[in-house]
Amino acid sequence: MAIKTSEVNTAHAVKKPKKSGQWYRSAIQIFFFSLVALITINVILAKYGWSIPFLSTASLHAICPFGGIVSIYNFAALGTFVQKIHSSSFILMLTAILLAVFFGPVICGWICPLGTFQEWISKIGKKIFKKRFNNFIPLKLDRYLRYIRYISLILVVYFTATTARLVFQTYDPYFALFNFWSGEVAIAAYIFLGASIVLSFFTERPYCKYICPYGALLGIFNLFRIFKIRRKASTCIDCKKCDNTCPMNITVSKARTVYSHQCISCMKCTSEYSCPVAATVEFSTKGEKKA
Amino acid sequence: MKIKSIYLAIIIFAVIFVTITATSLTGLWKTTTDKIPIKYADGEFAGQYNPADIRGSYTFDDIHNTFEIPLEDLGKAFGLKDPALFASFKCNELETIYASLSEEGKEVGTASVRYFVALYKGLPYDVEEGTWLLKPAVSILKAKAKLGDEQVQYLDTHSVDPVEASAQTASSSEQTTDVTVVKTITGSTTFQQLLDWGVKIEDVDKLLNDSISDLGETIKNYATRKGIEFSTIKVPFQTLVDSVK
Repeated sequence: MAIKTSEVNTAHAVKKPKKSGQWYRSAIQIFFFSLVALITINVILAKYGWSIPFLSTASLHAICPFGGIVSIYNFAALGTFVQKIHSSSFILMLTAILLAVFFGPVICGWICPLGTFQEWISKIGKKIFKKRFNNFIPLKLDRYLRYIRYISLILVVYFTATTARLVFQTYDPYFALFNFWSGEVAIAAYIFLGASIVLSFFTERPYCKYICPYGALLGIFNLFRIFKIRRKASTCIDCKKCDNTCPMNITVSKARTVYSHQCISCMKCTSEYSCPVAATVEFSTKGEKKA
Repeated sequence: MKIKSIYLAIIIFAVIFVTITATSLTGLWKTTTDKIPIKYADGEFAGQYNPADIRGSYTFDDIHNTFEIPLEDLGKAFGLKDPALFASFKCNELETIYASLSEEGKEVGTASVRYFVALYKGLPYDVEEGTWLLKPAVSILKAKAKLGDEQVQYLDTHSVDPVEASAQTASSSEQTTDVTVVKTITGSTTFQQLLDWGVKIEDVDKLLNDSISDLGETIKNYATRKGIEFSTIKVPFQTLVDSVK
């Protein structure tokens, strides 16, 4: 049962929304976006005999953990990676899985440059559409659309396994974002990137929500990640701020523990950021015991 | 136990960079291929290199080193005119040169090299649909490889004339019949290639402060022999090549 705000004021310390927590996430996002952009530029510079010292000249595929996922079948069957994929992708894949076991899809919420890019565009969308932003698609339809990314995951893994080629590159907006000038980008990838940009004005992370095969895979870890987003019902004032802040439209206010495959562990719903009541929505290993 | 975002940020950062550093130090972290294909794991050909694993980034020299196919055969099979460029030619350059063929469902590219190598060495390989070879490659295979009737039939119906094919790609026609490659200094670039690209021998000698006796030697070998880092002389040589019009 929800507790009234007045009661909470006396029983628990209500604090103002504090944004300092999100500064750390933004810093990490900016760092990884810049790192990937600089590495991409460095690849070009290296071709002309210039390169930024101490910075990798690895290809975009070599530093993407999803390359490891699509290469698993090939590696198991032939002991080799698919084209353009190297051991670095495999190592990053294992690292991402390790992080996901503990914290869920932090790769999506904290690192993925494409996710970050969509978030930046969405800031404009929020200013234009205000409360309508991120609420354009009817919930009933949206619920089903969210599963498209699992079809995407199955198709990508299947076709990569059967062709031993990096088929996803043809549709990959992440590759298009960092290589749009290179002439290596397929039209389909430009279309996916363009659509992601346009839709980001209306909704948060459209590509992540509906298409991203890697997000689909990492989302499964939300079912058993060690640290989970947990809401303490005894102190919750049912203000719905957690719901309104969640970029992935998860109804945190109705759950004690968030198991949604869409959660990206961004921590925006927590008491550290949007929840006005201290120690009520937290990223923790243990939740409140049911009364 | 609960975690705050600052600690999560530190953990994410630390886990990723510690892993990269540790795997780099142990030699596991690789962002490029070794240019050595995998070997057949079992069967009649166990232990031999598998042409199916040839990558687009492999040069003909890499293929020559692993499959022991003469560079001359590789170069001629794929329509290269200048023998000095055979070694440094990368398989994926074929895809650019014969790009126009792909519109007709014919592909002359890395898969063609894999198929050529497999037939040349008599190794098992499942040819991909749409893989075509150039007519000189077919002639070489008929002369040097043991081909079955089905293979001969396939080759006869899946080969194109290099001049005709490259003429379809207007922009690439000149490359195929003349130079065909980007003038980039790699580990297999020889001093002779520099001269072929228009660099003057005096400029080479001046840059090295040495007189080159063996023009066939690769720049990399020279650097190793003299105890110089290849990467340090590669850049000025590339500048020299780029300055030649």
